[in-house]
Formats: sequence, C-alpha cells, structure tokens
Amino acid sequence: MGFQPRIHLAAPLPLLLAMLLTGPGLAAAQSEQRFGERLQIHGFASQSAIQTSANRYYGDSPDTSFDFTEIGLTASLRFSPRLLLAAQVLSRRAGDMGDGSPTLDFGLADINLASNADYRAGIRLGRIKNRLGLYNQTRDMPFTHPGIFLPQVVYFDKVRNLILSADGVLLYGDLYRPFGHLAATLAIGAPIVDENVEAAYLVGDFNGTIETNGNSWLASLWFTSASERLQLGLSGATASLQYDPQPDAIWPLDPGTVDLLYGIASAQYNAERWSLTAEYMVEPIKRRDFGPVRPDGDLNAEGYYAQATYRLLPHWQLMLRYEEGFADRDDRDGRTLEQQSLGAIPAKKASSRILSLGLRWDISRQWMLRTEYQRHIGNFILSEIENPDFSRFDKHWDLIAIQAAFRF
Amino acid sequence: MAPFAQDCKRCFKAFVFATLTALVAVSSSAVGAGRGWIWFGLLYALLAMQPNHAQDVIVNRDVNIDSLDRNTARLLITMRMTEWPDKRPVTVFVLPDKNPLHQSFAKRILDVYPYQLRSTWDRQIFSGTGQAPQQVADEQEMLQRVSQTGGAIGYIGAPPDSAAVKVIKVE
Repeated sequence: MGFQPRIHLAAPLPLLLAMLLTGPGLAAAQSEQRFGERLQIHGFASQSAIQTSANRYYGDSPDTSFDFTEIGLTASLRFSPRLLLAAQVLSRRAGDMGDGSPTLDFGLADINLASNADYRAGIRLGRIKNRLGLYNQTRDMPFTHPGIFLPQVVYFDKVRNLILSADGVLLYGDLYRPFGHLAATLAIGAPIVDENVEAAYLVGDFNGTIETNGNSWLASLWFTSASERLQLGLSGATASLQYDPQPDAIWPLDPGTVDLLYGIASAQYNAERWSLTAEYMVEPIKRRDFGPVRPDGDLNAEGYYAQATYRLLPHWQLMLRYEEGFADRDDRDGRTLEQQSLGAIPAKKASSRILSLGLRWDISRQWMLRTEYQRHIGNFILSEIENPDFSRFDKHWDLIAIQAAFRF
Repeated sequence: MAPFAQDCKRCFKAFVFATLTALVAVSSSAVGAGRGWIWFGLLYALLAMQPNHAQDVIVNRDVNIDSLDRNTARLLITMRMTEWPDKRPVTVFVLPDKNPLHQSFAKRILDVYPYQLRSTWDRQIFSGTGQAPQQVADEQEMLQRVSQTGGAIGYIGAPPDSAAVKVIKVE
C-alpha cells in the first residue's frame, strides 16, 4: 500500500509541463494574478468518538473508541488557465483499518485542452481520485458529506483503497447546455490495494499478499440540471486481483484471482432546505482457483440507500438514511454462504440493514460538530480485520458517534 | 451604466404603480368600497419603495465583454471556466458564505443555493480538480480587488460611483 510512483504512465508529464509553462498564456497570467491567488492551501482535521453495543467498528468501539482521526493538507497551484497542479496528503487513523501513516491521497496535473462557455475537455495525470458515486472523490473530507460515516453498503470503508484512487491517466469532457451539464470521464490506472482488500474479498485475513493484476478501467457519466437542483450519475470501475500465498502458511489458499466490477447509479435532488439522495451499487465478483477452502464462485454484491437531509436552521442540518447491503444478492439471507463454508461464515455476515439519524452543526466556517445514531441488523459492512472471529458477531447492534471537525 | 438606468426605471415604475394603487384605494374607500384597500395600497406603496436589493456583476476594465448569460456566469463563479474568451485568466472574488449579498447573488443571479456553491468549490479543492474563489471581507474590498486584478470578476450590491470597474449585465 502507500505511494508507489508509476513511472511508465507519468513519463510524458515533464514534457507536457514544459510545453504548457513556456506557452504564451503564462506571461500574461503571471503579471495579472498574484502568486497568492494562484497557490491555494487548504486543510482539515477531524476526531470522532464511537460507541457500539457490540462488534468492533473503527477500533474498540464497545469500550468507546477514539480511533478515528482524519487529517488532510491540500495544495493546488494554477500555473495558467490550462494547467493546474494539485496534491493532498492524508493521514487516516481508522481502528485496525488505517494506522494514520501519511499517504499521498492525490497528486496530479490537470491539463485543460479546451475550455469555453460550451464545453471543456482535458487530461489528468498522476494519482487521481476516482469519481465513483457522489462521495468517493472527497470521502475523507468530513465537511463534504452529511453523516460521520458514508453509507457503508455503497462506500465500504473496509475496502476503500480499491476504489479510492488510481495511478494513471484520466480523460474528461464537460458539455454545457442551457438545460444542464453533461460530464464524462474515462480513466485507466493501477488501483492501490492493501490487506483490507484481501481480507474482504477472501473473507478472512490469510497469509500472503494480494496485488492488482493489470490496470483498472474507470468511467463515469453525470448529468446536472442547469440550476444544479438535479444530479444523475452512472459510474463504474473494473479491478483484477491476484493472490500470492505465503508458502509456509498453515492453511494456505492456492494462488487464485478475483475479478470484479463496481458500478453505482446515483441521484440527488437539492432544494433550498432539503436534499434527497439515493444510490444503488452492484458489484459482480468472480473468484477463481483458490482451492477447496474458498471455492470458485460468481457473486453479485449489492447495496443501496436513500437519504434525506434537512437544513432546519442556517447552521443546523438533520440527516435520515436507510441502507441495505448484501454480499450476494442471490443469497440475501446468507444461508448458502453458511452452508458452503460449513458454518465458518455465519449467515448474518451476508447482509446489513442500517438506519441512521444524524445532526450536524456548522459552528463557523472553520468548525463543525455532529452526532449520529445507527441501528444495525447484520454484519456485512464490518471489517474482517477488526472482527476476525466471526462466531462473536452480534447481529443486532447500535452505534452512537460524535465528531468534531476543523477546516481552513 | 445600463443596469443603473434600468434599476432607476424599475424603481420609477414601481413608484408610479404604487401611487396609482394608493390613489385608487383612497378614492374607492371614499365611495365606501372598503377600508381594507387603504391598508393594502399603503403596504404596497411601502414595499415598492423598499430599496431594491439589486446586484451587479462587476469585472475588471480589461475584460472585453458587456454581458453574460446566467449559465456562463455560473461557470465563471464556480471556477469551471478558467479563461475569458480572449484566453486571459479569470480571477473570481466572492463575499463570505453568510453575507446576505452573497446569498442573494447566488439565488437571484446564479439561481443556485449558496450551499451548492460551497459544495462545488469543496469538491474541486479536495479532489484536485479545481480551485475556490478568493474571498473578500466586504463590498469595499470587492470593488478594490476587482479593479486592481486583471481578468477579475465579482459582484456588488449597488452600482459603483467610480468607473474603476465595469458593470455587466447577466441575462
């Protein structure tokens, strides 16, 4: 995991930069805009406290966990109207799922090839945040989503890295029409995987390493109505994983592969006081050649939610959300999974139904405080690394959390 | 100074209409048509006399346009359009989110809610796909910064006295 520069994709970058820097636009740009107006530095930090009635979620939550901290620092420099450089360093402590060591969240050059009042097109090179669903691109910046936790059945925090970002190339095109905008992206790159990804797709923390097998493809298409009331989107990614077992493992798997597709359909309606959001996620997974412990299988993971936010006062916001998610939509109650695994994976591990209620207070431009209550039925969204002993899962559980966040 | 003239015309029209309504109300009450009309007329006159919270989009004098359509204004303020048609860079100045002028500018001129602007800028900043506008403290600083920065765009509540900036129409 972490930052691994991929030279082959970044090679043309210096050349392009040089071309843009020496272009005729820059001299004018520099004389007119102050440096301080072209360089922007922003940041955020958040700390949460989480209490659950059972099951570990972001640390030792049954005994109150403070193990959820996000710190980010972002810098962007607009060299010219045609070139933007931007990077963000993120430290994320998330129970056993993240240890807080700083990573390069994104680091990219955005090269605009055409821009006017009718359309925009360009290329982004480097480590790019994937535009998957409404929230993935800014998922770790607490101010950009209504609850403390994103809807887990769509934005699994237990495998966030697989869909978070990719080292590669992205093409984008926006079309501006009187009735609204159409925005399309197409990207290819190497996703970043870690032990969380392995544990989730092999259902357990096995000895060995998992690596991406080739590049991922990502695409998205969004429609936004003229006054941005309505937003509709389709986004998706492919990923291929290769497992490399450790030879001395006690209970080894064979060197198998996991191929998956991840697709989200999104809809949001924004009014002055309230917003309605719904997203549907489907993830076909092909697991091959792991041997008898994890037999070959084709699954379709599925998740969806509906969310309402209401701005009851200028700085206060209420959130209500209901979500459901299934490890395999053809086995919603998990009985087949339990039988196939000879009872090792309990049926309640196959689904999650979650009702969330949240209250957010934006104290000032810089500070925000929020709280959230969740009622859970099922354990699908829980991390296998945080809860290695599946027999100790509690099917019915509650969560209460508070979060303080700062930005500048 | 077309918008200023237009504003005056609008004020004048409202004033004439309100006065006429008031006159009709008074005369109708005189013939016994009902006292309610007097209050209605007076209230209407009062409302019409209220200072119209007009906004004007202003640009630096070097910006070579006289009018903008609403969609283009939105692209400029959300910083998705980063250069003017003559390829010069755009610099955007805005007032703080909770400033009443900013709020009415967002709703009336751009037809978006202020929270939507903030969320667009945040998404751009924290995904590395764009930037946020420069924030100024008040209208005075707005006027000063727009007049001093080439390619700048901003907005003010009333037409400026000086010719330091150019006022443009949003259609």
